[in-house]
This record gives sequence, structure tokens and C-alpha cells, in this order.
Amino acid sequence: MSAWHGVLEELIRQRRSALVGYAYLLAGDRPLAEDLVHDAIIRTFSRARRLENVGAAEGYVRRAILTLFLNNRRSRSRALAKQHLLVVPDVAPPDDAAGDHDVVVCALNGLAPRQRACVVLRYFEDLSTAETAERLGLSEGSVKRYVHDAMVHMRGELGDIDPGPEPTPQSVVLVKGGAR
Amino acid sequence: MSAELRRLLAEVAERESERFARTHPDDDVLLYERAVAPRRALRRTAQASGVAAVAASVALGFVAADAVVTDRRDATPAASPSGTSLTPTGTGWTELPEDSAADAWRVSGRPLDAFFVPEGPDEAVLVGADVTGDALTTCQVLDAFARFQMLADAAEAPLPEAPLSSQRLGGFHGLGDVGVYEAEFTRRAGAAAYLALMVEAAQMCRQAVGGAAVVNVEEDVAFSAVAGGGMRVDISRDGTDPWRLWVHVQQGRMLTVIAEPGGADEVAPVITSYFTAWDR
Repeated sequence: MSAWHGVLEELIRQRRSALVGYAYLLAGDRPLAEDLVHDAIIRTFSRARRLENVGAAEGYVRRAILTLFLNNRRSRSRALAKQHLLVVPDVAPPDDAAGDHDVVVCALNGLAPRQRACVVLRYFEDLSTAETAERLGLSEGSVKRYVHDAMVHMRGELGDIDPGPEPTPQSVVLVKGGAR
Repeated sequence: MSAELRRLLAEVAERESERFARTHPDDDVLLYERAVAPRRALRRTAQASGVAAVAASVALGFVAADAVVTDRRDATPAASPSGTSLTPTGTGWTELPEDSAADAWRVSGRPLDAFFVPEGPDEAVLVGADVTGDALTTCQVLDAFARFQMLADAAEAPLPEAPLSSQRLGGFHGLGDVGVYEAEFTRRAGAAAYLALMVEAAQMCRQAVGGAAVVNVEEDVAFSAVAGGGMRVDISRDGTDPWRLWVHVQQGRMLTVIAEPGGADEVAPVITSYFTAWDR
């Protein structure tokens, strides 16, 4: 059995749920988040690259989730092709932990995809501005601009959230090679 | 504070993670493996045959010899094989009612079942020959190519050209069931390149299986009475009673015929009847 089998098994059993949580922050929608994780896992492991440990694999999957989210590449054919893989509960489970979290999700849902991605990368993944820019294929100035605009919105929704030092708004510049 | 935003985001993600774990107790590992394995093999195959695909128009004589390849309507008509009759409807074979015995495409007296799908080499032969793991997956790719599956993945793999259209025509029930698939490519070179890819996949299957089963790959297979050419693959446990895949290309049209053990002899009549009597 190839090494990727073991890594895939470990990733599915130990990290898939966390990946869904990450995707949910980006997508703000449960079915979409699960679709993103599903597609990202298959996409990552279908590539011929060597996947020798679950940490590296998870990194690739997270990048794939981000790329898929920003590209919004879900098509009907893709959705149909993977239906057999998904176990859809007959009844939606009660969302017993609503409340403040829903407020956060609503605030995130008011952001544009790139703004949302910047917020998630900066404040959930704890990436630096430079790292976020590299991940998204943006200039650092663009990331600062997106974060600034996003935080203006988040403050309006959540109140006294302080993202730290105020980034300086700059014009948005795309950088070739990032997730788009 | 940024710490507060980090905490809120972490809590949302954690709550969603726990919800997912609670509502998805099955890990689905096997299902993911089944989805991933053929795609990995597809990519390996496509990458390995990248050069071969480009050179296909030179390597395959029937494609290079344009003067020999004529339009399907110009091909010398041949008498249908014994027991074979074909009644074109002009509406496409998949629209035929399953039980329209009077109008159905018949081979050896058996009508086309528009909804039939035969087994691949894995189920038909290889599992019984104790072929498992990557070897089994590699051979499954050949079957997937024959059925024109995974075309969505073709866009991400260095495949030369995906078919313009493809469809499962159906199959013939018999001692060994036979399935029929057709595809139309924009260009004849596209069909030739796809055929070259299938040849490569067959060779990879043969190498992967090793001595656990017998895989015979014949290239440049043609019929005297039917224009075009193609390839034939036989996969068996001991060289007899094979699972057979026969691919025939004429212009930009490709026909793939899959026969389970017991049905190999029916493949050639299916191809010749399709290309000699079929017309829209």
C-alpha cells in the first residue's frame, strides 16, 4: 500500500472535522464548507506529489480549500460526482451553540470573499501580513487594505472588536501566483 | 483586541468542527480512497504518455495515412457479420426503448440494452487473480478511459484532448456481457491522441499486474472492411477467456467495446456492425 493511503486515513480521521471548521469560517455555509473540504482533500491527494505526513497534507488541503473558495469553482457536475461520498443527515442537527457565534458568522458573511480570506488568515491562521499576501497572491498593501475595510465592517457588527494596530489603507494590487 | 477576534473565530471553527464530527460518525476513508486512487493513476498515466500523445499522429499508421482514411460514409460497406443486423433510427441509440426489439441494434441476434453497464477488468478478472492495490487501480484507469469517465479530471491532467461528446450506448447480454461506448472528438488527431493514452494505460496495467494475470495489448488493430483502426486489450487469469477492451477510431469518432469473460468473440461484430451499417 502506498504511503498516501496512510496519510489520507490519518487526515480523514484526525483532521477532517477541524478542516470543516476552517472552511466554515471562509464559506459561512455548512454545505459549502463540507463541499470545499471534500473537494480539497480529493484534489490534494489526487495530485502526484509525495504526501508523507499528515501535517504537510493538511497544509496542502488548507491551501486547496482557500483556492477553491476564492475561485468558487463548484459546478453542478462536481457536486453530482461526489454525492456518493457525502452522508447527508436526514434531519439538520439542532444548532445548540448559537448566540454570540452566530453574530460572528453574520459579521463574516457581510465581507467580500477576499476580505473574509484576509481576516481568516490573519486572525485564525495567525499568518503575518506578508504571509497572507503570499498565500493570496496579493501585495502586502492590498492585504492591509482588505483587513482595514473588513475590520470597519466587523466593528460595526460586533462592537468593540479591536484588530490591533490599524493597517494603512492602500490600493489593491494583485500579485501573480497566489490563490485566486 | 485582536486576541478577542482570534478567540471568537477559534470558537466558531471549533463549534463547527464538533458539529461535523457529531453528525458524521463514519470516517469515509474507503470512499475517499476510491475517489482518489483512480485520479492519481490517471495523472501518472497522462504524465507518462505526454510525449506519446503528441507523437500519436505519427505513430499510428491509420491516422497518418490520411489518404487511406475516408469518411465513414465512404468506407467500403461490408456485409454485416453473421447474425448481425442494424437498423438506424436517426434519433441516436440511447433513445431506443429498451424493449423495442423490432428496431433495436442487434448483434448475434441480441438487441442492444440501452441501460446495461458491464463490469471492469477489476471485478471481472483481476480481483479473482489476487491483483490488488495500485496494480488494480492502474488497470481501473484503463476501464475509466474506455467509458470516457473522469473527464472533469482531464482538465487538470495533461490529457491531450477530451472528447467533444461521449455516451454509453448500452450493451448486449450474452454468455459474457458486452458494453458499448462512443465518443466524438473535434479533430481526428484528438481521437488519435486519446487512443494513444489508452495504449499507454494498457501498457501500464500490464506492467503493474506483472505475472499475477495475463495482459495482452495489441496496437494498430484494424478491419479489412472498416476504415480506421485502434487497439485491443485482453486481460485474463491464464490467457484464456479474457476480459476484452477493443477501441476503434474512424475520423474523430471513437467506439469502445468492453466484453466480460465469455463475450470476447462478440466484440468484433459489434464494431463492424456499428461502422458499416450505422448511419445517422
